[in-house]
Amino acid sequence: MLLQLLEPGQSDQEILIKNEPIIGIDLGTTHSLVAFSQNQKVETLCEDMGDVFLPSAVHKVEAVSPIVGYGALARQKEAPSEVLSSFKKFMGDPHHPHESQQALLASTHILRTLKERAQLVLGRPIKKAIVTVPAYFSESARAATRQAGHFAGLEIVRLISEPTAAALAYGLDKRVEGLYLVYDLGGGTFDVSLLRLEKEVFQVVATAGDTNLGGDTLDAAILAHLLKERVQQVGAESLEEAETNSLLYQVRQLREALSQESSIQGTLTLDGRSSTHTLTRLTFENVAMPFVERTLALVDQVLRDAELDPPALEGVVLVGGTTRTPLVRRKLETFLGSPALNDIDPDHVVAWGAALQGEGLSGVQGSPLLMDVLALSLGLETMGNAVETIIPRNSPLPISRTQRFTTFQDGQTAILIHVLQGESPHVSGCRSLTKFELSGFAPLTAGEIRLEVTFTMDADGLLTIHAKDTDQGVMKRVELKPTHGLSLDDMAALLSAARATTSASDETSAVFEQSL
Amino acid sequence: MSSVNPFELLGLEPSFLLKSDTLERAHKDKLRLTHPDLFITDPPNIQEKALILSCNITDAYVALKNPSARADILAKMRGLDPEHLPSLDPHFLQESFMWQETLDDASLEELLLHQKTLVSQLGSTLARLEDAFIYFKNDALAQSLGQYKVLLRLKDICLKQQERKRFHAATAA
Repeated sequence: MLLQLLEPGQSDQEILIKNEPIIGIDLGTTHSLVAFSQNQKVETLCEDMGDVFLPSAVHKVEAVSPIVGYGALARQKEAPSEVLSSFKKFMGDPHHPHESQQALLASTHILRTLKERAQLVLGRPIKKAIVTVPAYFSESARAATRQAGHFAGLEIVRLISEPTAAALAYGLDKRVEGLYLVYDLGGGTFDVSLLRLEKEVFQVVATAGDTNLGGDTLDAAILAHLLKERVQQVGAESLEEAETNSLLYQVRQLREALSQESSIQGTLTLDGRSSTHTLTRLTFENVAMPFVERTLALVDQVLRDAELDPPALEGVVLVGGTTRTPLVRRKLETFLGSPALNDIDPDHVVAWGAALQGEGLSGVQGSPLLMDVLALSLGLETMGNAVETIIPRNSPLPISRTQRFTTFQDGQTAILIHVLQGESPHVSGCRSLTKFELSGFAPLTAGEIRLEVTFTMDADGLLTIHAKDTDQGVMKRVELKPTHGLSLDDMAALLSAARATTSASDETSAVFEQSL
Repeated sequence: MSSVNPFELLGLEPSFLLKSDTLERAHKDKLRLTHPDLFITDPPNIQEKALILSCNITDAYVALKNPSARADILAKMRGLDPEHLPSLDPHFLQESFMWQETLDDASLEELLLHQKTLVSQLGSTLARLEDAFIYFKNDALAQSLGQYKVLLRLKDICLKQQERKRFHAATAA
């Protein structure tokens, strides 16, 4: 028998706290998964021999206990307007306030469902999780993901980027030191990241991506192609958004089947009107080619950002179900001149990595250190709707930058600071993160007021702002948490909605109220 | 940025000839001790400290990575004010004006050659700066620093011109 003993001076309690289980969650565009790792053995969790995938779909998102997953998908045909899916792209999007609130609620339901699944399977309470986000997710999208975690009663100990999680799952931290490229073509987003592995440290060197490019984009292109045939069979139709979604779902099944076959016959059905179609791989590839080429252009951009040629790569990792498409793999391997790793299911690989990192961070055993970079530049609005970059993209995280401000006119008693994220030199081309006023200055001559504002991006890519008024030796310190374009009323509504649906959320609500 | 000298914070010898892989390694080695992930199970005040320290380390790294900012840090260590350097040697000034014109009219092939020349001039200026820094020759340090900055700017112009030429070639094709 092997007895486990504590280190002298260490209490049981400490060990228990340290060993609190941390699950790994892949919160995906089309489906989500939860995995758990113990002794470096990782497993995707499923209920009652069921499917491991939880479709990222919610029926009646504002209901007290909505239907989540397959149940919601099943209702898509009869009540398409009541089912919310493919909402991830709206997370924290200030330009679509309604959609982003719905996305936040839907994500909350998905996270809670996965948490409950993990508790059921593992037979112990689960409070902590590592959740993955696309490397290219903006600050506001990351913050929204964290909020969804709070609402679901999960402490998200770390948001890690999907490509980094994939690299961890492949055990790249135990492989040859060098550079690895992670190509992630999922349902709704595309990311490419270059990771450097060196002595147990994983560093994201560069990253690029497109939040509107994925299997969904391919499906839309194929559907547009097939609708030309369909109109001849069933006549002209004016499609509602929900009907289009139903057709897209049918197209996806055709496309996925086409990965095995060179030609496929299928039907598209809507309200009993069916049309039959033959889709050959050649036709599909012609339709898909521009999108694949767009991904290769981004791969090229990442390599150029890192000032590297493809031969310097140690390996290539494929992530996301859409990489099963033979065209994608072929074009990528030709472009890079090296074969890609694909022995872990590309749909599970991200959740596995998150679970492994969760085990590492729960303190049982060491884990490689993940050093991420800022995916999108952080900037401030200046005169004439221009954006001045204060922290450029691909800067290592965490990072801070202190910016000095002064008044422009005599007697000015306030200044407005507008923080944005993106690469455009114009306000309209960037995502607005937060706007806030620093006020209450004494009415002095222009330039006499001196302020120091520190912008800190933490390891998760989340922003905190501290402002310090250095005027005449008086120091004021303000801490600001961005509200991501949500008004106080919106936030209160979200809060009460979350309260209504969460049983044990007192703690999380309190956290949320603090940030108001 | 913290008030601590970035070289000191990263445990590096102050030098104009700092190699980029030495800097990368120092940054990573320090973060290996302070990264917030290492303190996830610790109380919030410890986490906050880890975050601030990690930010300071990265800020120091970013400052030293930029050749111009790094030169300013070293000049300040010798009591010079990089914002108020003495006026440049007239010969050098004239030469730099000629450079600017040459770069404006150059073809892509010529630009690549000019880049090589500029890089080698930057190299010899760095060697002069290092010498002046080590032997406390502040006048020479101030003069070379001004020249170094002009050369950095010229190299920047050269790279931007190349990008512009490539862009034009690509859109014409």
